[in-house]
Amino acid sequence: MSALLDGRWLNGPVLISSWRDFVRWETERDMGERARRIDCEDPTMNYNVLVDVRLRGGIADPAGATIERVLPALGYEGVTGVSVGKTVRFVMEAANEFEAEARANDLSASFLTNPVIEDAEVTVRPADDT
Amino acid sequence: MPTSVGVVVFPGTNCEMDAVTAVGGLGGSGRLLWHGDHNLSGVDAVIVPGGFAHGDYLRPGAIARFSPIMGAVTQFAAQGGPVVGICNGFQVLTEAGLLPGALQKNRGLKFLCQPTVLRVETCDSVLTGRAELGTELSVPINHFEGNYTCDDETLSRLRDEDRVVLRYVENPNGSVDDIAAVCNEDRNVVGLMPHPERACDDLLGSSDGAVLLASLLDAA
Repeated sequence: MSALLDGRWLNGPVLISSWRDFVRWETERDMGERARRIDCEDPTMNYNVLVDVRLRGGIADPAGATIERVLPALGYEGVTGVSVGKTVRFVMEAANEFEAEARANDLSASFLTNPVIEDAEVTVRPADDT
Repeated sequence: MPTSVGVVVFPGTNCEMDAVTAVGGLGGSGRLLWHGDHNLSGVDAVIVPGGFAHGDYLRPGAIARFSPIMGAVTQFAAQGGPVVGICNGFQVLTEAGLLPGALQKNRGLKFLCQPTVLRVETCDSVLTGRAELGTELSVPINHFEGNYTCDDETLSRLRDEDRVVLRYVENPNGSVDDIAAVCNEDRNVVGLMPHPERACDDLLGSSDGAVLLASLLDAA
């Protein structure tokens, strides 16, 4: 008895002439598939990144000052320290949270903020898969 | 051969023809350079003109500095080539690290479009070689983010090294120390918020900007 089994030979065509041959072939096939699956599996995860860009201390914030000045007229007394910045959100692929944080901090410092006038707080959270 | 001045055009630049026309009126030859180019086509000087490069998204100049031509501009400047950034061009040069400091939103949060009086603070720069020290020039401004700012250490260096090129006589936008223009250490890169190219003909209300652009042509 010999059979070619659906052409998916692990290491070239195998001649199967006994039940024992078949079991060995099937075992090797399964192990190979498992190895392939591990190879193909995407090793990265998605992380939600929030970059909170603020003006540095000492840099005039006319928008914040203007908002703060009008608040009492609207009945909001006792509100101080108003500052206006911006937020940037994105999803970043990374192998782990440390790598995501490092890359997000780098991106923030090199592009999303101007270090002369701004700094930023970067928050990284694993993205919810659901 | 007239002096050839490259005028960089990004998507959103809108003062390039003003610059080309002003340079032409002074005997030079303005040549438009697309931001996607990788070389300066052999020009003798570069103007980065005003406008809203790449829509000014994120921050004015933040994205423009990644345009391919900025590599060539940086190299040209490093070799001593004269480079002047006007208005948005000044913002681009600060973001690109060719000039110190940054341009913040105007004090008072108003877009300002008005004539200003500038005082020439040094004649040792590619923009002021022909001007006389202390001369007052009437040149218009047209910006929302022209409030020059830098840290104290940078400011004292700029003062000590005589790198404040122009000051506003009456500060319109809150710029630190009334600064309207600064230059780099080698004095061949200058950034200014006012528009000299819009003050090169009496018909426009002032021709005081001509001495600045004529200085650039001299330096080329």
